[in-house]
Amino acid sequence: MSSHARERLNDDFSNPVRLSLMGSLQAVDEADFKSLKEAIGISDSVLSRHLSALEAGGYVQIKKGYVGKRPRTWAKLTSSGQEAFAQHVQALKEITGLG
Amino acid sequence: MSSDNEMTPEEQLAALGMAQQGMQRAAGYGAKLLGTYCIILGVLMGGLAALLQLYRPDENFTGFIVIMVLFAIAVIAISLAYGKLYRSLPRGHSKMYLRGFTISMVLYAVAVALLGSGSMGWGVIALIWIIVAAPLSLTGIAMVRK
Repeated sequence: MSSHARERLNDDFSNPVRLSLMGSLQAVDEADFKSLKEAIGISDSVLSRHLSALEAGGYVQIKKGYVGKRPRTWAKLTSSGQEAFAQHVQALKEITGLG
Repeated sequence: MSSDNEMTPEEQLAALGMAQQGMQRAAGYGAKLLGTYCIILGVLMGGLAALLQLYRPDENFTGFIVIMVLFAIAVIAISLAYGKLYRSLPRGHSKMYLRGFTISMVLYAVAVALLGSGSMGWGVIALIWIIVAAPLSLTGIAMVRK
């Protein structure tokens, strides 16, 4: 690749919560809201806000449904989200000398 | 999308590692849950394929209906339980499940096709049970052990 790795960093993932969310979702096919909240250790409102932002960016797909009468939300990376995040992580590794 | 808390690349990689570590417990639970579901479903499918050899619809229609109803109830029950407990799925596990399920289904179809070939001995019936159950159940065992 001709561009410097720093230029390939995606600003959308520089926020710690969004980075953690993308990293967590990268490890799974799909995860529910509660699993993500527990894995990252953030409040419902913060998680909801950042998930919505990632969804608006086309990185995450959110699915809402019911289990019995209880509403439940699942999230997963879109294919473009997977690609964008993989590039971001690769750029991070190159910058830090790990890639 | 604005970022309100910039991190250095080193900090980002460290945060990423921590986040993925935090997700491992949830992913492990998801793998065990789907694995258990696969094992039970595989055994049920194998059992149905085997019992259909004993209760052929043309010879024992009542027995056939009872078995089909029990199978349907069992599958609905474990699927509802799985749906209730399901929270996350490690990467690649849905494909693993689909592969195991498809192979078991194909083998089940073969077992059903064998219904027209006359009565079978207990050994063959047991073998049918094992062969049909194996792909999905072994997939489940692999998930649980992972």
